[in-house]
Amino acid sequence: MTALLEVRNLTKHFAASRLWILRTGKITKAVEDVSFSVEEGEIFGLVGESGCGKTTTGRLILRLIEPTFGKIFFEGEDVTCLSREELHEYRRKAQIIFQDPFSALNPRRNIEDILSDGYEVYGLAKGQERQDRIVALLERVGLGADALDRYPHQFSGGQRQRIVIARALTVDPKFLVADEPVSALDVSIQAQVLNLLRQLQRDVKFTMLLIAHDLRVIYHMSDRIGVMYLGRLVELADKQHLYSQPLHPYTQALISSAPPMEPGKWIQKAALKGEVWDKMPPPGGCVFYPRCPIAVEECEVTIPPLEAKGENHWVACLRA
Amino acid sequence: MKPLLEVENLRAHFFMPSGVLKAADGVSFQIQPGEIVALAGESGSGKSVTTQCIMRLLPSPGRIVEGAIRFKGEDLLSLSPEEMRRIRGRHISVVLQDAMAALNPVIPVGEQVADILLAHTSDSVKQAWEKAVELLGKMGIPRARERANYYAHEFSGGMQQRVVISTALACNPELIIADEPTTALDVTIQLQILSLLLEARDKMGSAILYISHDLATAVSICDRIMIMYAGEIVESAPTREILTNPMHPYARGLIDSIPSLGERPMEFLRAIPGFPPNPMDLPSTCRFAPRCSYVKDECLARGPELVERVPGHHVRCFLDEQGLK
Repeated sequence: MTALLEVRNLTKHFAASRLWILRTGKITKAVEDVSFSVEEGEIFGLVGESGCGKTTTGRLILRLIEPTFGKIFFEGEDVTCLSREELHEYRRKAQIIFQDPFSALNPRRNIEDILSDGYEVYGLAKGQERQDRIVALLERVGLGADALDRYPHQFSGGQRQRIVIARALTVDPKFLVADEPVSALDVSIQAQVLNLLRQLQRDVKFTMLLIAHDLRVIYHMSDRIGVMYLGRLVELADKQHLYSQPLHPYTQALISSAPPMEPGKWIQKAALKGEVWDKMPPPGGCVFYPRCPIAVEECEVTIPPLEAKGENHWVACLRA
Repeated sequence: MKPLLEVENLRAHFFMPSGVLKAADGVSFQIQPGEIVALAGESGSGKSVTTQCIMRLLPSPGRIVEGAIRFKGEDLLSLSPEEMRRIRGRHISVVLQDAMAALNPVIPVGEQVADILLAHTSDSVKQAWEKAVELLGKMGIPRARERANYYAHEFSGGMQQRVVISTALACNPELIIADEPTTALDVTIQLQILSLLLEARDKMGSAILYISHDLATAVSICDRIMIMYAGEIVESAPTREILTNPMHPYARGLIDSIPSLGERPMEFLRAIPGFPPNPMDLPSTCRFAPRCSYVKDECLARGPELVERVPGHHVRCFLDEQGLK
C-alpha cells in the first residue's frame, strides 16, 4: 500500500478576532503540528471532541482554508502550493461530504441542477449522457430518477445526505473527506447512511478521511484511527489496537466515556475530571496536562512528540 | 406501590393550517417513585411533546385533545395555572438540552437558583442565596461562592448544565424530567452530568424521566426503557429485558443499528429501511408496517394495541414471541 495523502506538520492558527489581535496578538491554535498519512483505499478516522481541530484538518486538506504552516502531499505532489489550474484539478480528485445536509444544498435549485455542477465545471458529460449518469448515481445512493426535478426541501434529512454524497461522487473522486456525515441524522437513518458509504467505498474504491465525534461510528467504519485533542494528534493506531490497548490517557478517557450497551457498567467507570476549556494548557507543555490523571512535572514543560510504540501505533505522551 | 406519575391515553395534536399533526397519539405509562425511566425515540416521535404536556407547557397551536395526567393521584390537566406554577420547580422540574437558552443571560446564576427557593419555600433572601451557593458547589462548580455572581455566558456548556441541574434540584422535586440533557455536550462531560442526576435519585429519591434519542446512554442509566415511534409507545420493558429480548421489530432494529464497540465489527450494520411516517398523515394501521420486515396481513388492516406480554413488558405488535426469532 502506498500513501495517497500525507500531511506533514500541518498547523493552522486563527486570529481570535481582529480587535483582539491588535490588542494582544492572541491566536487560537486550531491545528498544531499534525502529521499523518492516509493509505490508498483505506478509511482513516479522525475522532475528538468539539474544538479539537478535526474539522479544520479536513478543510485544510482540501484547501478550503489555507494552512499557516505545514505541507500536504496528495499522490506525492505538494498541494499547498498549487496554481489555480492545479488546484481546480486537485478538487476533482478530492471531495467533501458536509455534516449538515440541510445547509449543504441550495434550496432554490432542483436535484438535477445540483448534481450537474460537477459535470459542468469539469466538462465531463453533457446532455443525455450527463442525465443518464446522474440517474445512475441517484440509484446508486438509493434514490430514483423521480428525484431529478424535486427540490431539497422535499427530502428528509437522510435522503438529503444521500444527495450530498451523490454530489461528491459526480466527479469520480479518489479521496473523500466525510465531516460528521451522520451526526445530524436519526439513529435508524445513521445506520443506513453508514452502510451506504461502506457499500460505495467497496464499489467505487475511494479513500476516505472520516471525521466524527462518535467513537462508535469511527470504530465501525475506520481501518485506522487518529485521536485529536486541542489541535494536536495525540494517538494514532489501527482500530483494534487503539480500542484494546489505548496508550494515551485521553484516548483511554474517550473510550471509557462511550456508554456500553450494558446496564450499569458505564456509571462505575471513573469520569475524566474537568472540561476542555476549563484551563488552557501550559505554553510549551502537553495539551492534555491540565486534565491528565497521570501527569508529572515534566509534562508541563515538554511537548511530547508523536512516537512509534509498537507496530502501527503512535502516541504523543511522555508517560505512555 | 402507588405510581408517582400516571399518563393515560394522552393525545396532543397540533392544529396547523395544513392539517392536524398528531404528535402524541395515545400515550400511556406510569413512573414509580425513585424510578429512572427512559423515553427513547427519534426526532418527531413525540417524546418531547409528551413531557411538555406533563409540565402543561405545550406551545400553541398544540392542544391536549384527550387523556389524563395524574401526579400523586392529582389530575394535572384540571389544575389552574396558579396551582400548576406551584407544582413546577417544586414537585416536578425540568432539565433541557440547551442550557444557555434555559438560563437568563442578564441575571447572575446564583440568583437564578435562589429564585426557585424564594418562589417555593419560606426562605429569606439571605438563606436562599446561601443554599444556592451550597447547591452550586455540590453540583461540581469550583469556587461556587465567587462564581454564583457570574453570568451564564461566563460558563462552559457543561458548567451551564450544572447550573440548570442546580435549579432543577433546588426544591428536592419528586420527579425530574431530563430532556436530552447531555446531547449538546462533549462525550467526556456526558458521564459527569448524568452522574449528578443519578446522585439526586440516590440521595433524595427523585424519580427521573430521561428523554433521549441515544439508546446507549439510556441503557447505561435507566431502570426501564420505553420506546416511542410516530406518536405511540411501541415497547416498554426493564432495561435488561428489552436489550436481551426486544419484542417489537422497531425496538429490535434500533438496538441492532447501533455500531458495536470492541468486537470485530460487522461490515454492514443492520439498518432499518425506510423512514418514519409523516405525522400529518398517519395510517390507521400499524405505523411501523411500511418499514417492518415481519409485516403480515393483520398489520395492514388495523393498528395493534399496547399489551403486557410478560409482567412489566408491554409491546404494541401483532407478532408473537416466536415471530421475531
